[in-house]
Formats: sequence, structure tokens, C-alpha cells
Amino acid sequence: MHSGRNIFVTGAGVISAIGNGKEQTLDSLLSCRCGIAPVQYLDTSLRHLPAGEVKASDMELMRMCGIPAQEAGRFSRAALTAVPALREALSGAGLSGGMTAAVPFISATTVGGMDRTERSYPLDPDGTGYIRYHDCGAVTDATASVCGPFAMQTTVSTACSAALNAIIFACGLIRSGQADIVVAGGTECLTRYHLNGFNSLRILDSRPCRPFDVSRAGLNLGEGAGYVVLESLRSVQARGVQPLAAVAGYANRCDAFHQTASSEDGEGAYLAMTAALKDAALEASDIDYVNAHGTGTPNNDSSEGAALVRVFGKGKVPYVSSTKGFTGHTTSASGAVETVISLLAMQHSFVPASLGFACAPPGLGFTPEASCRTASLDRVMVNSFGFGGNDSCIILEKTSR
Amino acid sequence: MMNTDAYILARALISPQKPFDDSWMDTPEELPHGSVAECIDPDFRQYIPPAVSRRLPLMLKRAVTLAHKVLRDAECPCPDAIITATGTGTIRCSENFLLEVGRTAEQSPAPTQFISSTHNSAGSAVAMALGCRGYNSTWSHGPVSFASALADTLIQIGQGTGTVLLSSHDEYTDNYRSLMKAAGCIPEDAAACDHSAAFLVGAAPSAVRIAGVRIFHPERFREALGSLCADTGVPGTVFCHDSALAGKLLPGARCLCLRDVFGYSFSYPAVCVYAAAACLEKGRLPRGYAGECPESILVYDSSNGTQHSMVLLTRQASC
Repeated sequence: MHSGRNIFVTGAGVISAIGNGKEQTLDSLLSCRCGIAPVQYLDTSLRHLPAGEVKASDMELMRMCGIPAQEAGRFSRAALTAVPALREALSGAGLSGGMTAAVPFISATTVGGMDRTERSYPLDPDGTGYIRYHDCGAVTDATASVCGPFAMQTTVSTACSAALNAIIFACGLIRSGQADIVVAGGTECLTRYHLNGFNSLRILDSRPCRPFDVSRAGLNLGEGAGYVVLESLRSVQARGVQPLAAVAGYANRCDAFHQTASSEDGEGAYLAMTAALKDAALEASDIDYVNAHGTGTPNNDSSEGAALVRVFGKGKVPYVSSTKGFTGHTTSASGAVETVISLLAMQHSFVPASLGFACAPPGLGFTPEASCRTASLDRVMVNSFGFGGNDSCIILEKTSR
Repeated sequence: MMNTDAYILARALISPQKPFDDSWMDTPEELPHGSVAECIDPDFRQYIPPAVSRRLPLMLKRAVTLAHKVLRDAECPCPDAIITATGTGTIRCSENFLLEVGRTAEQSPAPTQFISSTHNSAGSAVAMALGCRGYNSTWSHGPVSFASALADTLIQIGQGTGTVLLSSHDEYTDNYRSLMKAAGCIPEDAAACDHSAAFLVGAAPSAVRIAGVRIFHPERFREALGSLCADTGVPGTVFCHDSALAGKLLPGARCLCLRDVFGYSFSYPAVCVYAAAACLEKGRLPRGYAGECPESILVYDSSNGTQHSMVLLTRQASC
């Protein structure tokens, strides 16, 4: 293990449009199998817009989670997708039964229980009191009620960077000595609310998205969940667990530019990446691969591209891909989903393809990976950016056995 | 969670009491019992240019105004980090957009309300107003939101961040309030109302020290209390959500429930911290409460069934 690191990932779980669990996700990544398809499960009239849905209905997810049908009312689809990913992360870390009772659970979501609310609001025709399950925290509480008990649970809600911010806070709890083990990540389900919201902003592509490509025309929304178990060096040694990676550094910064658009020079993203490198005591040249936020919108990709060139230097940008061409943009879950994807890439020595990418626009300054490439990855940077210019970055580092 | 040395450098509140004013301690505005209380907003024009103000939904106006107010009071040009709590988010915008999606049958609803409905729109609006590019996070977990944001604040201060603008914002619409009331999410005896509270928190000593915060399951009350108050002892004064419960758990303590003064929202715990800080700063309790001002006050929130929170504030005599 790296002698200077004190935060390790000891468990990881994921569910998205490309599979339930790490094994299915890995298989999809290696075989370049895209999960984006016409909307199948969400009740919407915007069916011409492709999306990355988890391939299961709410009832199927409930059965998968072992939740009785009579409890359906208290589980948003966001909670139903969270449960399998969280269980996989806990199981991978060897945390079972009552072992979570001293572990804080930090989750992220933005739509919360909106999928339930939008079916009835502003009425409650059945008198179910569904509104008590509407807010973000209720999704985390419902998830914890199935996978816990935890020492405490709480929820970050910073739009599309939320899950990475949950991970960053969890790292802070460990670094400050307040916890030895923390589970963190995020979940989001597709809703009519934010599908229409993103559509109203005219940033959805009616074709599968093409991050960083010259022809990119917008993003595709997705849904899913990702969680990681983070653990201090002391706890890793005491429990004798084998880490999947170390968290070398992390940072969050704000672009302070616009509620929904990124600055042209990607100032917030640049500040987040450079602060994460500083936090990790690394040089830009130490990074082997960047899992970019890469939504496929013209604005994000040019802004992030500018920031990447500023951080790494022209002609020196390492391997870059956006995996949103596989999963769609899982918004508040994306930082965690892509952290798990990055862990898989490190473990199995490959750079995931930037699906949909074929030709870089003039001036991008680097060429994302169009196909899956074999490569040994010692350090991976994960970017996750959100509305309000909320820009987050973590650096994962391979640990020696 | 460990205890950290952090101090309240400035504070401001928008509630049903007069804004930017601690007259609530002596002559509080009377609230209607068990219904709705209206917020008394400050003159936003004193803090936000009209052209900017027009584009901001009400909750964001409050957030930006409070940010300017506490920074002016503390003579701090810009905080190093912005950390925000909100249980509901900008529910007015969410409701407007949700109803618009239905009304238009998903055919081209206008984006304005959607943009502002994201929970971190308040923290972002403040960052843009101040040009603050530092750490920026938003917590949304019902009445535990503020304690979570405070825990984040203490971590930031502990890591060397100089100042954090910590705030908490919640609002109601008529629809949302009646659904919440019917679902039992607003106490029967409380007037539901909007709240916005802001604090500038820093490592430089001031009159009020934030000694620590805990979020815990109710059955672990003793453990949380013991670790929080290990250095100071358990305070004899508690600002709480439920006087009966607090009195039972802390026999002999003086328990003040301030819902009849400020009403209730998910930001009520932040309002209690504001009120406790006012008392410690002024060295006295609100009118009607006899005795000397305590050296420390425990803010105990039990309004969430599954998790409670505690914040410990102490008075710094030398400041």
C-alpha cells in the first residue's frame, strides 16, 4: 500500500443501464455495450428521447430488494436502485449484519422521491401521505431501513456532482478521525420532472449522446446508483481487508458563473482538479486516465476540455473518456457510478471507451478514447460537475498487495 | 464525531420575527396557533441590485441577502466556503415546474422554474453573488439538513478553511404545507412558516463557540450527549423541538421550545442555533425565563422520527 495514504476503498457497488452489479457493468464496458435505449419504464410522453434506464420495473426492483409489495409507498425508485448497489458495496467490504451500526451512511440524490410525487401532486387522492417520502433525505432513510442500521445517515444534494461530494465528505470524516469506515455514494431515478426540465433547457440529444465529439448535441439522462465503502488505514489493517484502491486526493470548487452553464475556460473544473492534485501531493503527469464528466452537451465538453488542457498542458492530457455514452447521465448518482467504473478500469487494466466519440472538435486539445483500450492505470482522476458550477474531483490510486 | 473549535462570527435570520433584529427576545411578534405564519422579509433592495433581485426566486433572494448581511456584519469580503442546508429546496419552483409539466402535457414547459428548483441553487446563487469559488456543498435531509451542513462546516474549519458561510433555508407553498400537515410532518401545534438563517463561522474566537454537533438515532441519545458534552458538562439549558421529550431525557434542564416564537420548518434547528447564539452573545435568555444566562446551551432537535441532532454552543467570556 502507498505509505502516504490513509483512505481506502474496500467495497464498491453499482447499478445502471449497463447492468446490476460490478460483474455485469465490467462485461458491458469491455464489450462496449451501450445501455441507452428508448424510454421503457418511465411514464412520459417524451419517448423519442433515449435514456439510460435500469432494466427493471419498480416491482421487479422491489422483488430484487426483498421489499414486500405493501411497503411500495415508501420506496422511491431512487431508493430501489440504491439498495442493490449499497448491498454490493457492503458485501464487498465484508460488512454484514450489525457491522454497519457504527458506520455513517452518506448518500446523494436530487430528485429524491419526485417519481412518486409527480404521480399525484398536488393531491393525495388515496390519503397515503406520500409527501413524507418526497424529500431527498427520505430516499436515504428508506435505503438505510433496508441495508442498515447505520450510525447515522444524511444526504448531499448538489445536483450532478452530489455523489462525488458525498464521497468527499466521507473522506473528510475519515481524515479528521471522526470515523474509520464510511459508506458513501448516490442514487437517482429517472423522473418526468427532470426529463422535462433538461428538455426545457434544450440540452437533451434525441440520439445516443456523443461526449467530446464534434457532432455532440446534448446528453441522455440515465438512472442508477453507486456506493463505495471508504476505510482508514488503521481499519483496513485491523480488519485485514484488501483495498480496491486508495483515495489519493479530492476537492470541490465552484465555478460561480451560471446556474446551468459552465464558464468557457472551465475555471471551477480547473480549480477542482488542481486542488485535488495538490491534496494528493501529485503532479498532473502522475495521472494515467481521466474519467471525465463529459455529458455530451456542447457547453460542458468544451468547458471541461479547456480545463483539462489547462491542468495537464497541451499534448500532455492523459487518456480521457466519458462513460456517459454507456449509462446516460445518472445526474446525482453519476460521481459514484463513475467512481466504481474507474475502480473497475484500474483493477482490470483498461480505459473504457468514450462511446459515441469519433472525431474531436477543432481546438479540443486532446483525443478521447474511441474504443476500449488495454492500459495499466495507477492513478485515475474522476470528474463530476453539477448545476450551479459545482465541480468535484477525486483521484484514485492503485494499491500494492 | 469530534468536537472542533469553531466560532459564530456573525448571524442573521429571516423568520416571522422582525428580520436582523433580536427584539423577539423581549417583544416577539405573536404567531397564529397551529396554522400558517408569514415571514417578515427585509428590504432586499438594501442588499441586492433590483435587476438581479427580479430574476431570483424568493428563497434565493433571502439566501443572497443573508449572505451579504452576515459578511457585512463580520467585515469579511468573501467566505472561503459556502455550505447550505435545505429540507425542501426551493419548493415553490419545484411545484410551479411540476404543475407546468402537467398543464402543458410535457409540451415545452418553460425552464426558469426548473433551473431554480435544484436544491443547490441557493448555495450557487450566493457563490455567484459573492464570486466565491471555494468549497460549496448543500445538504438536504429533512430537519437533519442543518446539523449535516454544520458537521461539514466543522470539517472544513478543522482542515484549515478560514471562514464558512453556513446557512439553512426552507419554504412552504399552500399545497405542500397542507399535504405535509395531513401527513403529520408538521407538528399539530406549530405554525408552519418559511425560515432562512445564516452564520459566518470561522476559527477566530468570538463570543459564541460551536463546540460540536451530533446526528444519531434516538436510542443512542446518551452516547451522543456524553461524547458531545465530555469537556463542558451537560448544559442546564436546552433549546428544543419538544419540551416534554427534552425534559424527560434531561431532567432538571430548562427546556425552551421556540416554535411558538418562530414557527416550524425543516430549518427550525438552524433557527434554534441562531436563538441560542443570540442569548449567549447578549448574556441573557428571552423575556419570561428567569435566572442567569447559561455558559452553554444545547440545541436538541427530535423532529425527525428516525434521527435526532444536537448542537452544543458555549459562551466565550473573554470575547
